[in-house]
Amino acid sequence: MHETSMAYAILDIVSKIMNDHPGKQLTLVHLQIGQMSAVVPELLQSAYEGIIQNSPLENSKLEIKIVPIKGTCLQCNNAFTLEEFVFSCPHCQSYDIQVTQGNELHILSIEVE
Amino acid sequence: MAVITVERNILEKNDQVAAQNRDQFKLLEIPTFNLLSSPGSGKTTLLEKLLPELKALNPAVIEGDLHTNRDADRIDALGVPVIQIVTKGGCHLDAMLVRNALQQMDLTTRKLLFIENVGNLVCPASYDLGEFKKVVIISTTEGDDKPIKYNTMFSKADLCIINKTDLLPYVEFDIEKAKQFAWQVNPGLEFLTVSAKTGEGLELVVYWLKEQANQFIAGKN
Repeated sequence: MHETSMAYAILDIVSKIMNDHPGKQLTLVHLQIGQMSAVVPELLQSAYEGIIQNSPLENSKLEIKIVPIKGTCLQCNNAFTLEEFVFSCPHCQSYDIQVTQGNELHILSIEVE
Repeated sequence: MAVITVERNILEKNDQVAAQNRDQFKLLEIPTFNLLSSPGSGKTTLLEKLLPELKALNPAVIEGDLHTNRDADRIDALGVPVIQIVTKGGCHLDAMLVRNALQQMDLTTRKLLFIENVGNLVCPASYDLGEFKKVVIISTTEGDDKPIKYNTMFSKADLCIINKTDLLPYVEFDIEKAKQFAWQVNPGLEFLTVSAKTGEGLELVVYWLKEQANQFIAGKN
């Protein structure tokens, strides 16, 4: 349900950017969403569609790229993708790992015309 | 068609205000604990038992709920200053709501602040409030696989309290299983077991909180 708050946060950021580009129409918002961020892409998409109705951004859409969780083992330096949220090194089984990606909640770019 | 680079965090506004809250807590030397759980795990009952034991730290509480002041009334009855945030259906607290609550409180003599988040094991995990530590509470009437189902929340926790141990003889909850699941997503996560109802295990939670408060004051934050 927090996807609605996230959608409002996105709308807030992109609306301010669009204010600097008068005469342009927003068509696409490129997002990077990490697998650890507990955001459901479909819910974010429908929340966004709901809140932009009857606004100047009405014809825009979200393009969501899911970022897998990756980590580096601090014992054997193995870099790997975490499957199923198991935070251990598949090579040496150590739990001493550093998560390097998967928490993203980023607006990368927007497309206008 | 033109592409405009943005490169910004969706929750940047929340995170900026959370950083301001954190600065304020440091300035006031008040360690703040964000209490997170599903509805009905016993957060408020646990607070009712903990607050009298922590009197020396002069604690204060921010309560978050979707509706009603019921929880705040329970804390108020103990003579502890409390601000109720009613989210009117919102599923989590954010840093701005906490900042607004802080503006209504005089924290100058306080040495401990609890923020009881909205009962929800999903959404509150994404929102930094500026707290010192996140404490997740689960109860034995929930499944022991909660940590692996709600992995984002458990991956961010600093302590997990298992409440309602008085009901262990009547439920299927396996404490060791819960720990194993949690350690898959958060290796080394600390656990304490407690019955807020009978008071069993309470002294260790009090000890943990006092230790953390000392570390915060010593600047290990």
